[in-house]
Amino acid sequence: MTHAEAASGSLELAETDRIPTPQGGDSIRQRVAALREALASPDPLQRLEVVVALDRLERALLAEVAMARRALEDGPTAGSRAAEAALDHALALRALADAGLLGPICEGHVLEHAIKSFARVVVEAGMPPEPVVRLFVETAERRGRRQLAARLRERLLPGGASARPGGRRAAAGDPRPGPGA
Amino acid sequence: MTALPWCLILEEQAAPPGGETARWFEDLVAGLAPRPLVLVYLGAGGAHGLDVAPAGGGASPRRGAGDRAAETRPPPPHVVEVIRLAAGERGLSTRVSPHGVVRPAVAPGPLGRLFRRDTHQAYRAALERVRPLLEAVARGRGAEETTLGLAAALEVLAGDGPHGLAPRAVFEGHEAAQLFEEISHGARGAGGLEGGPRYGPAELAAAARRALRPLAELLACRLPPAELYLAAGGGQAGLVAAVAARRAGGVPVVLAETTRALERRLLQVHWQHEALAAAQGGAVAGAELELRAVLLLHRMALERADLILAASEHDRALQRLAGAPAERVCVMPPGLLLEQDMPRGTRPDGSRPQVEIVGNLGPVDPLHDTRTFVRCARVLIERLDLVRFVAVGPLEVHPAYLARCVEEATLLGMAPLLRFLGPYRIEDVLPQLDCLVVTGLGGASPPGLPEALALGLPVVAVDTPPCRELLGGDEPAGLLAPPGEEQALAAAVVRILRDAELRRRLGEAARRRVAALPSRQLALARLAARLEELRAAGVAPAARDQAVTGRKAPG
Repeated sequence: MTHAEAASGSLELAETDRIPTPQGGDSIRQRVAALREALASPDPLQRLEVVVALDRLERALLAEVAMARRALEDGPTAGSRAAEAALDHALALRALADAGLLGPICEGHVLEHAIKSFARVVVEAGMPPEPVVRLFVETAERRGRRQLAARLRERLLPGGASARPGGRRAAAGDPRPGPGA
Repeated sequence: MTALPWCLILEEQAAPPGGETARWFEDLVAGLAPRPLVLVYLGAGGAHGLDVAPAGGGASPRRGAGDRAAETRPPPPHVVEVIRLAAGERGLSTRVSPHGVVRPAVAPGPLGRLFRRDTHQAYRAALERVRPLLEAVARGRGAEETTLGLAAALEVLAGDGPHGLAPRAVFEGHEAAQLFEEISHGARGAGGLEGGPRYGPAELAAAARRALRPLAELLACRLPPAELYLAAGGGQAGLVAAVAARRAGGVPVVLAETTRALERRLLQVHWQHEALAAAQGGAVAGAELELRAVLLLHRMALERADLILAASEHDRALQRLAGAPAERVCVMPPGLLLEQDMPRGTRPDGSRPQVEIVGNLGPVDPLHDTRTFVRCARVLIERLDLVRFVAVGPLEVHPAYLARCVEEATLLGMAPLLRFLGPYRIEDVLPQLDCLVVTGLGGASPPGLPEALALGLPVVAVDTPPCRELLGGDEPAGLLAPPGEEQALAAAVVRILRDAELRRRLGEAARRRVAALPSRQLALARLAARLEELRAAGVAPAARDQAVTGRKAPG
């Protein structure tokens, strides 16, 4: 199954456009960074204001994660709803990471969690959309898992080989090295 | 009625059970034995107003959050009376103690009584006396502007003097609505109100009801006469003490723990508005007005106190910023909760644990930034072997925040390694830790930090003024990291736990740093002696006149 085929099935192309891409300007990450700098203010009342603003921002992002998780856990294990829930989960986690609210290790952890949960859906429902695959590939590279990144790129991105040693587990993004690794 | 020597007031809204202020108050009560005491707890009421419940008698349907902890054990024998007051936002209901010591100054009567012809003018005059206070809330006040001119408004709110009103009369009725209208439109005088955004009468009225009405209901209760009133808390407790002291003939008023109280009250206003906005599906106007009211009441309380206790030099500076007269602020540290050096990291059976325990002390809320501790713990799991984490402190301060911390801990796969323990005594917890991580962003001294230094416990803290005061300097007593930066905090924890020489050096500096601090017992004994002096001396009539009435003494 190619990416295009997968995308035309359980997931709408429009949904894949929702994957946020890091960019300049007034991003959430910059807002969070500015607020965190202001936490060092000597004025306790100003620190208090910043605490409230930061908490509000983090709460909104975490609420998305929680909602997506619930949707993923409550939804059917197969079919388009599960795939959508998994996508929402990945999106929410990505938003959290983009906001700079998770350090590299935490970011890696939660994104790996997303890979695993998404992998389950891939097995059941088919290929994930390309931006999601790229997100996972980037994460795997950032985490130093080059073999995993290479396998993901090969098998899940357009032009990659569709059949490799390691079977479904490797194709689904399992971070453990497969027999061919 | 004969005056008792001491009346101690605790603002429970600003002092969560198991927190620093509640503990200090509890220790103070014990430390003042055998002097006869009256204890007054000011709790958060429900939506329907004021409850007055006698000591140990009669279950009140609406209790403050701290009541459960306070009621689990009987008061010590030298406490002759415990009074619990909880004021809400709407309506008024009273329950009078069978001892007859607490009565509303103005009995609630039918609203129509207020509109009789012979009382109408008096009602209007009383509202005029409240006007400056409402105007001050509406327009804000300058940092240097005194609140002593608001004494008449305070008198009306308390139901005292010839124009005393029942609390609800100040905020209900046609005349009150007209007053809010006039103030919000700046209709009074030719120029109107200057500066600041304008608010509609509805927003102003709502903010006044939320911020001032509970206070008015508390002020209308007559506390037993005492020779000295000590209030632990912010504006609410301080003004209740000031009004009671005036009624008792102008006796001294002492304020304590005000910095924590102010921060907590301001945060509560934010949280309440967020909750209201969530319930109503949109933003609720008036948060800024209410925040201003809290700051104003706090300043009023500070300016009416005869002695204001500061925990440190930094705390003294904060009190001054909040409006405390410099000459009345006295640095008296609350004292260490440890009597002597205790061996660190020992279990009750004396064995040294194999697992390193990293702890965080303080209420689980945004001000203590527990979430940064959770993230720091996640980073540390990757870098340290056999490490566990405990967050020790009140859990009920902000239940939604606690839920989010737990959610995030679960998301990060921390569930088995991180525990939220709830409140424990600092002296019981600290010896069990291998490292204390301070993430709190408040202006007051972080819970357990001086005690950790006395123990020589490795400390990593966020770089805020109160932490820097205790840890920084030429000979640092701990490591500092930027606030909210879990990576930097975690790196510092790894460094301190892996470098024995660094630990030894910091530990020695830490012990020297707090060597001059007294134990809690000694600090309270000194405080008691100071209070005895104040009680014996009373308050100079000139100072009293100015503080209570707002008038300068002649000459």
